[in-house]
Amino acid sequence: MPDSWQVYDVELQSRLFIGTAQYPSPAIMQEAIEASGAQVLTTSLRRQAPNSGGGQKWWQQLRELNRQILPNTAGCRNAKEAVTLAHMARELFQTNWIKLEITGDDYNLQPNTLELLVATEQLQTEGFNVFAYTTEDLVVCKRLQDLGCQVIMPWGAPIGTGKGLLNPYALKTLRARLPEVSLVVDAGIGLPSHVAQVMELGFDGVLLNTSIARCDSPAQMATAMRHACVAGRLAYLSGAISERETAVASTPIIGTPFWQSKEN
Amino acid sequence: MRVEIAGAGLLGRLLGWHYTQQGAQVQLFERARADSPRSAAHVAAAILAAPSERTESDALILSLAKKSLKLWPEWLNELEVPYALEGSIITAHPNDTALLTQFVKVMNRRAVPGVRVLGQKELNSLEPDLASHFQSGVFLEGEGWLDNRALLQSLEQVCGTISYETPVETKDLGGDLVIDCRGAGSDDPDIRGVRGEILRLYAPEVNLKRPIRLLHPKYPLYVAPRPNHQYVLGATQIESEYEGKVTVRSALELLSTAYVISAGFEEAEISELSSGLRPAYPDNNPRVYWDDHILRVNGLYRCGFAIAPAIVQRATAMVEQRCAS
Repeated sequence: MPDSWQVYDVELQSRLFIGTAQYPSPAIMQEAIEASGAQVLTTSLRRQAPNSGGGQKWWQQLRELNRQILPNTAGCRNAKEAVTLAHMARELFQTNWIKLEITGDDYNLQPNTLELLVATEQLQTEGFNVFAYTTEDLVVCKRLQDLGCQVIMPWGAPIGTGKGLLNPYALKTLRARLPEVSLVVDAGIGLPSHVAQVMELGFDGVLLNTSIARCDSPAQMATAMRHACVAGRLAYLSGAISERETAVASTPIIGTPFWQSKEN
Repeated sequence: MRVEIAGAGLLGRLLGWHYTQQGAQVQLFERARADSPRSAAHVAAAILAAPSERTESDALILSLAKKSLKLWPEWLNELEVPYALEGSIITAHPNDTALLTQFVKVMNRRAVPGVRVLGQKELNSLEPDLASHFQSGVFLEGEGWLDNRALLQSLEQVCGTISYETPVETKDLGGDLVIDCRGAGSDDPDIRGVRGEILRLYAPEVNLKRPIRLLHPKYPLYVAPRPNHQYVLGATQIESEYEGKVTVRSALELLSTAYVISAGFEEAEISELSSGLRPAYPDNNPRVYWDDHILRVNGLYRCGFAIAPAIVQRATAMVEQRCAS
């Protein structure tokens, strides 16, 4: 079933975005990316000395995978650093896409939403297509939308924790209140069921890394995540039934011989 | 027999030693200056820890390390190089015990032998320095460390003649046998360099006997002991071929983690900050192969010291095979 979506200037079929860190080897990463069906790969460049071109070989390997690259600013702690890195990323990957990730707390890597707003405002005016990594805070997300950000990426849980959706209520609220924006849950995913849950809530996509890269069989897990993403999306599009407290038989009982139900 | 070897890092020297012992005339060519080595082996912490690396590495590495562990004691004794194989300890800060649980889970799933979970009492008796910060750990039997710089120095005396500051292309080399061991400096298009940074400390108040690996969500670190209270702390792992000096951020990460491992590091002297490039193939496994008449040996990546003897055996066996056919 065709279910493509528009992300800034690019039309995508897959709704899974994949990170490129922490794999046992580049070869295993490549297998996992292929298995995931992801069309968007995110990569950091902060530590690879982009000024000196030290990461050229690595970036070349990523380019050769023929996916849309979404450079990110992981490791930046304020708007200024993130903006500088975004400029380098644009030059390196010839893309206006930038995932703004500005760390506000070292231990849970909670995004600094104050700095995020400052950086988003500046980069939007410079023609960047910002993907804003943020908390589930509705007010911040609304402000991001006002700034022209078309893709907002609230966290599911802190990066790498694999806890799944810690605040489904807030995420549901975001979806209900920001119907025009592409919402992609980023971070905190551990299991395919988490991915399915995100998609069932009507989110546009999911970004994950650790749950695939650090598991025992990355390619196999990537396959599982791909299926979960499709399953959750199809479920959302199918208009799921509402929960209720009492049972409703799915098989008509009229005509059932009495001896079949006498134990009930 | 005349043997010419490009690259005088660990593999170049070990192979040179092997062929010198066979009576060959061995010549090594090294791009770096004698007094400022650039090989990954010079910078490495030289931990013999392939079993605990199994969380990151392929089963091949573990099997090569097993073979190597049988050869190292004899080689190191002959070369008079300090080493110890008294096991190693993996630990994590009490806030990060989930990482330790995950580590044991992966070790068990991959059937790595010699893994023992330690409570605080046992941890304390093995390495008292860890007692103040850590409540649990994992012991890895048979792991250890060797003194990489003593080894490189010792090999220099017995591996043939090294021409320093002589970068070469393998096509320019001659002799009966040409071996390319240039690591990250190789022109093999599949090889990439992975940057690593270490620091060396002199810490008279620290008495760690074994390599310690600290699992941490952001700053994983290991400490490898050396004789006379010297310690090597490493290592960052960055997908970059940048050969510049250690960055402030990396130094801060390494130092602050050292501080957590033992309070004794507070007053340690920083004797060195170094960076180097580990050579790696896309699957992070080593390769030994004939490229026409050149034997290329490369891609030892993170476990170079743990697997080098088995790689040397493989390489020399391939030479013998070719000579015999």
